[in-house]
Amino acid sequence: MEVQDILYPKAQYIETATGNRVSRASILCGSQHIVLSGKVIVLSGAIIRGDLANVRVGRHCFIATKAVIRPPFKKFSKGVAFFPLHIGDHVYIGEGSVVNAAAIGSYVHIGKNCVIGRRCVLKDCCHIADNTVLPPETVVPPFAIMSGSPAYHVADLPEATPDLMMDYTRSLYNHFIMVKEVQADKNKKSDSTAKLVEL
Amino acid sequence: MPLYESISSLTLHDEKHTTVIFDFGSAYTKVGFAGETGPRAIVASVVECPDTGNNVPVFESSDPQILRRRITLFILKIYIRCLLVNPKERRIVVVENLLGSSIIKETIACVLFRHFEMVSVSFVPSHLVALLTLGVETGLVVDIGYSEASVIPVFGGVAILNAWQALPLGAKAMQMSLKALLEERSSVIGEDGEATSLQDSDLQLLTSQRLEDILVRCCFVSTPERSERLHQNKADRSNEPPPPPPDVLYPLSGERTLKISGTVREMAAEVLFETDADNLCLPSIILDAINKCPVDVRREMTANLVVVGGTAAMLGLKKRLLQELRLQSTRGDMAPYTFKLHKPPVPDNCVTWLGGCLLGSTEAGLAPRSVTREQYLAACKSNAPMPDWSSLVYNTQHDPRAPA
Amino acid sequence: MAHLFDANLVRLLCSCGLMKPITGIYFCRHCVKLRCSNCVSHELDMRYCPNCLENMPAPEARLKKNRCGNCFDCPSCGQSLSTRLSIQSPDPEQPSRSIQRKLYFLSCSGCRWTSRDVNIPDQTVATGGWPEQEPPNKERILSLLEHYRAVALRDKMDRERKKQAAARVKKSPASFLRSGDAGADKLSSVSSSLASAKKSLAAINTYAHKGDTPLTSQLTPAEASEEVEGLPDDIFTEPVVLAQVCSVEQRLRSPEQQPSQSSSLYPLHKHMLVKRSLRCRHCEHNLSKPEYNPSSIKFKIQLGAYYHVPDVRLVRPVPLSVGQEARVELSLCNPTPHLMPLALLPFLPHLTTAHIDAGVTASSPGPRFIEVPTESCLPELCTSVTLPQGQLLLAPRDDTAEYGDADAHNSFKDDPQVVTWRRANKVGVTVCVTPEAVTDALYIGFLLRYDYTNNMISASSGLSSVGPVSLGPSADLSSLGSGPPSGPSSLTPSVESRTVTLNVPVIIKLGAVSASASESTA
Repeated sequence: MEVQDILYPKAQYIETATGNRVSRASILCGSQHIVLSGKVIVLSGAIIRGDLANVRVGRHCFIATKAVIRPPFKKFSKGVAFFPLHIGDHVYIGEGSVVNAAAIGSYVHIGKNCVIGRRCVLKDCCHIADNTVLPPETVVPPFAIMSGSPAYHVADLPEATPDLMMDYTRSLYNHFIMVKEVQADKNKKSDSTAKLVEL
Repeated sequence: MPLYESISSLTLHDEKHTTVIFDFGSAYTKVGFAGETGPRAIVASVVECPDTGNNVPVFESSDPQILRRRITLFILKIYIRCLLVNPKERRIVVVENLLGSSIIKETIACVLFRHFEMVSVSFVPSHLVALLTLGVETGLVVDIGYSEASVIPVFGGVAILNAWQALPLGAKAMQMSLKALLEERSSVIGEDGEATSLQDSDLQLLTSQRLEDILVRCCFVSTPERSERLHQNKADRSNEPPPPPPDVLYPLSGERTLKISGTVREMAAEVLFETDADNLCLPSIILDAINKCPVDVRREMTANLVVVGGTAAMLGLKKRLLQELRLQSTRGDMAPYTFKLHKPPVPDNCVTWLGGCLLGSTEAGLAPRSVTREQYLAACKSNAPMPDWSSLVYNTQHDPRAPA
Repeated sequence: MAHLFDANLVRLLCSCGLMKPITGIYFCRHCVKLRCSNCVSHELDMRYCPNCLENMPAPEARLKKNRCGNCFDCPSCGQSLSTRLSIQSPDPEQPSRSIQRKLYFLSCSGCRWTSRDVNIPDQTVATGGWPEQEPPNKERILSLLEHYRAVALRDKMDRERKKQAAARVKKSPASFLRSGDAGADKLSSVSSSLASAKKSLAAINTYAHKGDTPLTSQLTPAEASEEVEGLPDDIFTEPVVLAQVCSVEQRLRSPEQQPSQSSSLYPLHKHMLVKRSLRCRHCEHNLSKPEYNPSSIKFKIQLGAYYHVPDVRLVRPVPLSVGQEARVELSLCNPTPHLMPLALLPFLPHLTTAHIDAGVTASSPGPRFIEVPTESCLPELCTSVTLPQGQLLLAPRDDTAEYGDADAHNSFKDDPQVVTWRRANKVGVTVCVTPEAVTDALYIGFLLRYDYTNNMISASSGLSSVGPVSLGPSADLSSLGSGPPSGPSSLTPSVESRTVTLNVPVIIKLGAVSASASESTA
């Protein structure tokens, strides 16, 4: 299937000069430490914890509703330190996923409701299936599909994955269409998420 | 390389030519290389169906095309996930059950030769090579696998084929029996802590893997005396059953916990020893096999029992089998024999694999038993690609090369 | 990306007869045919550890049984183990040792298993030195191996001697004289084999004297025993602690030990992964070859169909009901940097499959090439399908299009009856389908006929029909599912780009068909 249009009301989103579209109902803590490299979409309810450490998100990324991006910490004998989190280009992070990784490569797809444990390293071109739990410090090799709780390497991605991911994130961006007002039912939905986040 | 030479001299050949040993089973497939002490991997014989995405058993299809597609996928999966060597241009040993389906055998040969372009493939009979692991030449080999138990006596390295016996008694039968017993005699504790009988949703959670896990972790084969009393109780409730072993709480899902009653733990494996409609059970077919052997070799057979196969590793099974054999042999008109059991050097489910491995690591021993690609392709035209003991073509003329 | 989620919606029919999604198909530019993982040969290029992503050369991998020397898997849950540090504070009872000592142990972050659980002593260095587990009965198995090797070698030598002896007997004038008498011949061969047997005995003796490896190895056969290990005594009284009994998975993770108690679990060396390249069986050209660096996602050679065959996708799910015409919108995308004329033709399965079979028997196999048997797995196709008539032109793929605003809309004079929309190298077309019966999955099929510009040095004669694709029912169906008819004429190598007309059968799964229209809307 081709990507379906997602309509969003103009008032609820901020579009930056580089083309990032960030929902007003998202929470970007410590925004001076967050870099969105361009054409990044952050939906409502998403949380990026820039207050803990630097977060850099590459181009054409998509962060779905209620996803949490949180730099990892490491315990030392003298205390706890947070490490910066880098996310590559063309990365999709699904609804409700919690990302604690140390690094995420490019062309990575993280499904819904995943937990990416502390200091995981996701190499380029890997796929985390929906509802997967990656234990801390897991390394996901390129072209791996991880699934399950705890996650196992269940299959491999096709060779054309980088282009497929590129095509997918680009069309997500192109089909993310700004409108003045969204129909009543959709408006209600986004309101409810906004409220939930405020609580 | 010289550094490694001395260590790897055990394998004799270099990596490129190391023979690969396959032991395909209906539940688990054992794979590894010749010259090693154990298989590299034991993998479930399932592949992902390309149409539905579900895992399906590899060998359970009667359609030769579907079978071939699954076997191709399965062997490819083994090569790229377990063996990590180039599949092409290799010698292969396949440990086959002499009583196995010839469609499967031919399909395996077709896949190995045509899809993977192997140099040569030899099919070795599993019961025969199981004896190699013991260094003996005579024995009564009982292979209790997933779908069936088969018995073939071997004397002096020659299988006594007319004495073969087989029954569909294995892990599969035990799983069915366990499921029925659980349904009948066990309960599920829900989140609220209340015990109810099993619901349909719970039965769906009892997949084959889970039943297998319950069998392996909780169940055991009881003693003959207790089994007798259990059966008496089943027939007539007034008979006192033996005090049951403790129950086990087995988590089915986050909310549901299965309470496996002690009787179920004890009874699940009884199916192997209960006589069926034809009055047959596991000990009786072993005795039948012995009785079908020539009189002169029977004593040798009973003194050299070899029980192999994954199901044989079940707690208490071997002991019970010996006890039942002794018991039943005295009942019949058999002469009193002493029953002795061999203990193979590897876990029960790897014995036939190791046998194939021992044979496969001797290039000189393997060469006369294998079919090369050229022979196969030439034979394909004559419509009988693989030598098979059951085919008349390979039995009419005396050919020392023909297996078995 | 659509292919990652619903890979099985749109599938192409490979030249071997299997249906695969476009990402599972390769396009051999040399044979000008589609190939899939079923009909190519797989080669392993390199092994690497999925945890430390380090390449391991083949001899080392063989020695270490394809396992990483430094990384471990948890024997309990299979996740990676991480090395943990614990600092041993100075022992109060031994004041002499006042220095803190760093000790390392392995711990699983997935299930909290640690190497201390099974009493593996902590290590003083972080990088290992973990004790290895030897398979039980290793000595016995090695001696068995040795024994059978010796037996087989002796057999072989015997056989060769017999052969030589027989040959000698044949050559000797005496046997020549007796050759008429079959019985005598048999006798002589028996005696010669006897002689060779004696000789082999002598040979063994001499070997033994020299202290060389003896050809007869002494192996004590296993002894059978009357008693076997029964049930543990406490089985009828002691409750089972599930956590202490290994599951089947845990047992099979170490095939040689197969621990039954979780107290005997042992860290497992991490198993390697491989990168593999694919090679066309027919022309031996590589179809896919990855770069050697384990963490690289680039390919040296990549002939995926996704880069060479127009990509067909469903635009949106369509509700289907019996007897009602549904308009199925498809998008077609040109992945090549060349203008691509394209047409949709009706797909006639019986003609195509017949051709596949004919192609297999007709092609002359090379000396070492083995034909893979063809498959047939076509589903039942819906027959009442109206395909868009006429020819389409797909604009070339332009990677810079994203950055510029160049509008190529007007350069194509599209028939609005055929093309519903056009965006860069994509067009949308509509196919009308009328389902006839209620099914779980309705399949439609058509033939994608397109001109492919093959710009490479090739010796193929090529059917260079540059220009519009011939259309209509009279279209030449002889080249269905394959490339140009391979004619032996003019095998001249050409450097310039050649255009060939290709036919690719496409099968689309549309989804369930409901009984009536009212149901589907409800």
